[in-house]
Amino acid sequence: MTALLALIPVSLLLGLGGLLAFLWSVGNHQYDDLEGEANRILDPRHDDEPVTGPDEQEAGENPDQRV
Amino acid sequence: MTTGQRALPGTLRPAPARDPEMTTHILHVPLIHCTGCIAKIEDHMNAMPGVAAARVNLSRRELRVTATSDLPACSLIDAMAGIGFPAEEIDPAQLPVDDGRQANALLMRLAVAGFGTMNVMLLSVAVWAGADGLTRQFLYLISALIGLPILAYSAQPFFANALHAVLALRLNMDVPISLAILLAALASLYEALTYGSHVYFDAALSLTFFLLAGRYLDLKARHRARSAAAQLARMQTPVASEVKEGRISEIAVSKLAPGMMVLVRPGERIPADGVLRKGTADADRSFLTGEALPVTLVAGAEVFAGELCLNGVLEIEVTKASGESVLSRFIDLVDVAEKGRDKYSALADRAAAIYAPLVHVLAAAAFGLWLWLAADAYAALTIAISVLIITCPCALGLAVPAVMTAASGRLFSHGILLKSATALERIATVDTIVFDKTGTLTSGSFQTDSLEGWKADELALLHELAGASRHPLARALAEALPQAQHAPGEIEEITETPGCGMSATYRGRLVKLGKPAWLLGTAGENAGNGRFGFRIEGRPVRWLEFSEEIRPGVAEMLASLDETGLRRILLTGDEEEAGKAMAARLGFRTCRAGMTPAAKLDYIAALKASGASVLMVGDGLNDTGAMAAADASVVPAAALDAARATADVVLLGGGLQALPYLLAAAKVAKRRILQNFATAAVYNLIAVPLAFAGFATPLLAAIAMSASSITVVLNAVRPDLAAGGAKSGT
Repeated sequence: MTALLALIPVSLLLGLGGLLAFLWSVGNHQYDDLEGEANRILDPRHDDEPVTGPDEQEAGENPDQRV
Repeated sequence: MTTGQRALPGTLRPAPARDPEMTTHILHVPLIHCTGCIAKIEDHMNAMPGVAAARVNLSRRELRVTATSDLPACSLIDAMAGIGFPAEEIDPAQLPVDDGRQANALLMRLAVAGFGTMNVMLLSVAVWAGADGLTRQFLYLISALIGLPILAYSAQPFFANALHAVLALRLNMDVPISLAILLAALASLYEALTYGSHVYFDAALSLTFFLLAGRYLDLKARHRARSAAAQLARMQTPVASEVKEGRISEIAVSKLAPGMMVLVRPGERIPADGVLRKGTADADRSFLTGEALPVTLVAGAEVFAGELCLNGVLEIEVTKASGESVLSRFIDLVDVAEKGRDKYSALADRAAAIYAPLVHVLAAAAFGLWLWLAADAYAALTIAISVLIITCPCALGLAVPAVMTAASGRLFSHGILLKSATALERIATVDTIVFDKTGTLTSGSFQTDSLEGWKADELALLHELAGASRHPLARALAEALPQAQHAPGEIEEITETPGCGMSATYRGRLVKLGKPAWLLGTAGENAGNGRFGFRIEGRPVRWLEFSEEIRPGVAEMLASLDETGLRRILLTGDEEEAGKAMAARLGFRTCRAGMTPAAKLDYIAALKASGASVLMVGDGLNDTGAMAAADASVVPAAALDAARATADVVLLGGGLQALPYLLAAAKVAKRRILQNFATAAVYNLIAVPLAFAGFATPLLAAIAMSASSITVVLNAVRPDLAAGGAKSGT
């Protein structure tokens, strides 16, 4: 029982962390183009060095952006 | 292409600040389909001067370009066309601004509800496994701590909706849902605080979770529906040039009255119905007839509001006030048809209409029964709540959206874009298909195979003359011919004689390209619009025959439609002869020609009145009325903006081949929706008597809900092994 008193809050915190990470990733437009991201991996130009994150998408963001 | 040789798009460019001098354009590019496309488009567009960033969205087949504000969208579109990706701009102003935000808010609520459901259910499993006493109490309290705030946040859409309905004295599906959640939460809180035995937090949370999932899918499946009537209204010019006593002044079109004279210049639209008094020109009447070939207007000819004057200055006497024009009348008809179409009651709504009162009745009956049997209000209440929760159909909330989402995805990979959430249901019941001719069955362009044996200089001249005219046949010709070099000065004085043709001087000789009668100098007989003549002075006349190009794959597509036993009809605004010829060519037993847009609409309405379920396939403004009146409508991707706005389905790619697949897929989708309704009903039929008898523990509720929801979703996504897999449309 005392174990539960500690473990349950800990697991909740971990779960909450996961939730916040998910919400951040949605807000970061990572789910906007799942097919596109999957396909971009296949581009041979990215073989030797990684591409920096979704900054490219942020370029040109405007207040009325459709997400 | 190896790395290091060029910058990866976007990586070396800093993101520009929200700069008022930059504009973002969103282009729809239907032909994007792979990594190569992404690389090609992004490289090319990012290299364009003035473009700050260009990024492809493969899932939506869109290209988002941020460029300096003085770079017009059409140069972007031309650049795209240059690398083989025809594109068109989506006007950001036309998209509802909070479209994405609404979906995102829903997704957040869904995520939070999911988190809550999983965690509370973890705790519940411990209780079901036999925790009791202090441990159970502790677990219940933690469930309350997690569950109550999350329910307050995530279930808001249902509460808000239910409140609206109740205030309007109506009942919708959200009322029993909200009641169930509220009562469950409050009763469970009471139980948790007073060392009670059953709490329903996980049931309330999973109910919220599954229903939100259904709602989210539903929202994502919807595309903005734009009104065709509003699109058509754009063809009406607001301002006209009135000619009075030799002076030209601007006048609002609404003030035009019969008897006034107006001036129309090349490139302008005629502002009102009238009679041509002075001038000659070719006019584009496609919104009325759907035909790409312009009409030649000579003095005395009847003209219509909305016609586009191509190449001459016209003085027109107004015969009808602006509200009375053919176009205005048509817009009214389309408006009425669209409103009628909005009244379609979706399967989901019909199911909800039965379910909502049923749930209330059952819960109230349970309460009454136990109050009478046990005389214990609290026990009766708990049983009533458990009945309410178990009857609450989260499977029903997922039944339709799950099928629609799965179907949309599958259809999209076959090149079919579903724009309406109820499109598939309506298409599934279709027994008659009405086709438009020009632009739908035909590609709208013309072909000529009379270019054999022409000399190089003749072809070059032909290209020069054809390229200088706006006449569609001339443009088709110019595109079909290769360009050749001509020393400047060799061709001079290219002039267009409206209604007749083009002429120029080449090395001192007169060269003419145009209608037979004008070319030969014979009077009358300008009939046979599909024929041009070409003559260099001193040489014999060369004839060019044009025929309409039928879209590739149409004949096979119609053959497979015939196999399904559907009736097909051809309606066209073109003349009797052209219509009959096409009907014979493609095997249509029923054909009507010379149909005005209003006539098409009436024909469809009559078909529906006689009990048929009609699908309309069209592409132009003259089809929008018919499409609004039909039970469902389909357009090819190359259709006019207004037609695409009002249609339920857009066939991406070059042709109509995907149509049979769409019809088959619609039938499968409807079958699955009904299966899902049945599943939801069966689970309830089993669970409700148990709840009534007082055996409804939270465990039973959780099992019933999860099992029914999962069954429904699995049924929606399973592949159709019987038929669907083999019949691909593209």
